[in-house]
Amino acid sequence: MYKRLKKVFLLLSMIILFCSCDGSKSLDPLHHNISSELSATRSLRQCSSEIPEGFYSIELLNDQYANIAFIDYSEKKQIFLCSRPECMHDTESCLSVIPLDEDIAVPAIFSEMDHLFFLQTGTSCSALPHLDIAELNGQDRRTIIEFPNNFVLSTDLYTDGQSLYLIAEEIDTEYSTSRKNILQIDPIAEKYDILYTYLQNATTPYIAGGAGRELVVSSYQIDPSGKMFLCYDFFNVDTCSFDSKKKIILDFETSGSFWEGNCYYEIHYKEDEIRAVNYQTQEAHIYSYSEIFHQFGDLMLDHNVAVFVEDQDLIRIEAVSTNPKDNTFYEFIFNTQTQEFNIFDLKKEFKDDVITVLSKNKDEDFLLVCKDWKESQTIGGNGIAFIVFSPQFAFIKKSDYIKSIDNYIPVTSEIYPNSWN
Amino acid sequence: MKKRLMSVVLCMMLALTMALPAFAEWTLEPAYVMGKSNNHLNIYGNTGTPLSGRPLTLWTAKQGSFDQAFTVNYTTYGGKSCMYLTRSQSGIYAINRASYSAASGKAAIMWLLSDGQKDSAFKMPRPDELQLVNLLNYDEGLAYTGDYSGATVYFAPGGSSAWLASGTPTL
Repeated sequence: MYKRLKKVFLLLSMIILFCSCDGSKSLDPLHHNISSELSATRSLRQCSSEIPEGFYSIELLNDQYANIAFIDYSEKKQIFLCSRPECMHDTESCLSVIPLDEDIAVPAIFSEMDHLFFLQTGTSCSALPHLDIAELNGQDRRTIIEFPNNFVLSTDLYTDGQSLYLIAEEIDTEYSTSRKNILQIDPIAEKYDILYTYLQNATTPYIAGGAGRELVVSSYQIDPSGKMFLCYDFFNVDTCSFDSKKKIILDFETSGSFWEGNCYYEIHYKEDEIRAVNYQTQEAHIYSYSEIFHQFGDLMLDHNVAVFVEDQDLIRIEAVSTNPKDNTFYEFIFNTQTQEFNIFDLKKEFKDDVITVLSKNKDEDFLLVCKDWKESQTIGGNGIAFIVFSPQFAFIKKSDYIKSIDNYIPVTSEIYPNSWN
Repeated sequence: MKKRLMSVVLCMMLALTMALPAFAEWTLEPAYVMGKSNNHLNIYGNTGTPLSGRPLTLWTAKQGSFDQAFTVNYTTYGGKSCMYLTRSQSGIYAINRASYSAASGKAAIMWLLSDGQKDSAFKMPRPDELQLVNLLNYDEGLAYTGDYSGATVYFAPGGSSAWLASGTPTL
């Protein structure tokens, strides 16, 4: 299957301009096994905690309780999800407070289907794994599904707008075995179904992406010689079956790969190429990053780069120097529309890492980012001082981001009031 | 006979770490050819402190402790296959390489996975006690200053200490 796919990409490279400037090209659906029905509604996509008006998060200031927070895009402010002006947001009477037991089971938060979902992924000392639902303003939070105590749930949650999908592992501690299941959750009926159960002790799969009505499930497999391969399987949630014709097998030591939305990306290190296939629009692109090595050859960069899709048209490429005296990461932004490369050096002072793009469904001109982390000291419940890390959120114009111009628009925070001091 | 017994035991120990985890959770302890350590990789923290920034240590093994159980997550970092070790029951926090020092390397802490993927990505584990927990993006691995409760856990240049991962049956 891998050789067949490689031939398809080679064929595509003959009909698509190298570093293509003229937009999309159609795929031969026969070669790519892409269904024309993919453009239908209810395509699967990864859940997020973002809505058009803002971004939700769970903030943990101590280990007694967590707070639901919301970054309001129009106000450029992060607030507690609580409308009572006199509230201190530190007791269970506050809508934003999620009490924690001593196991500190902090849930993952998602905003989908006009509701908030909170997923506790495993059993804690006071609760089974469970899914809570609430209104977008935090009201009426309640548990809608409890899972068995031997379930461990993944936080890679997908939705088609009606159901939620994830992988859950059933653990048998007595025999040290486990079984993985693909679950479908119906939040309205408040129930879940097991769509598929893997063989016992199958190597742990994870949901890598969505393609129409199919979950793309990734797993690692080992051949008899001990060599490890990365596999992508396509699971149809309607027929509860895998389409073996679409299976992708990759030698991940020579190529990288990932899914972003409906797009599948392969990074071919030897050829300095990023190959992207959109399973919804049937578009394919090949982007060459060899120019990085031509322009910056003196940096002695490793061709095994890391690639991130930061925005619709922006790809960030991270390369490390092979010079043993230079332990530095070099970042580049590639604009797929203009075909331009720019060095990218917007970094946090804390952790010396690039700023984190948080938002995906955002204003076309601005990005929401975590610009940095601020350290401060406070006293814990036992009287001992400890360090607290406060995130610094900000907006940045896309045009500034591309050119690494640090013209940030601060997002003030009720949760971290000193973060911009 | 003694040599044969030792090689059999060695094979059994290696078999325990062989192949890919078929099991969601790991407990990590210092590896020995004979016998077992009494200490586990542990998330340390005082009451009242948040999870982000909590250091990793070795601590006396405690059955069922969520501070000593780590969920194995296979995924990719920028397209490179990797593993993240997240705190069981709080999957949004993962083992992470701090930018400040500890022992003879960089401190190992818990950090929000969404904001620290580069420093939390481990190479895919290999069937070798020295190749279970090495970072993807740095030539460093998870190490401990000694096998005792309270020992500092940090990221050592050159590679990890020897670890045994429980919760990984052979395929």
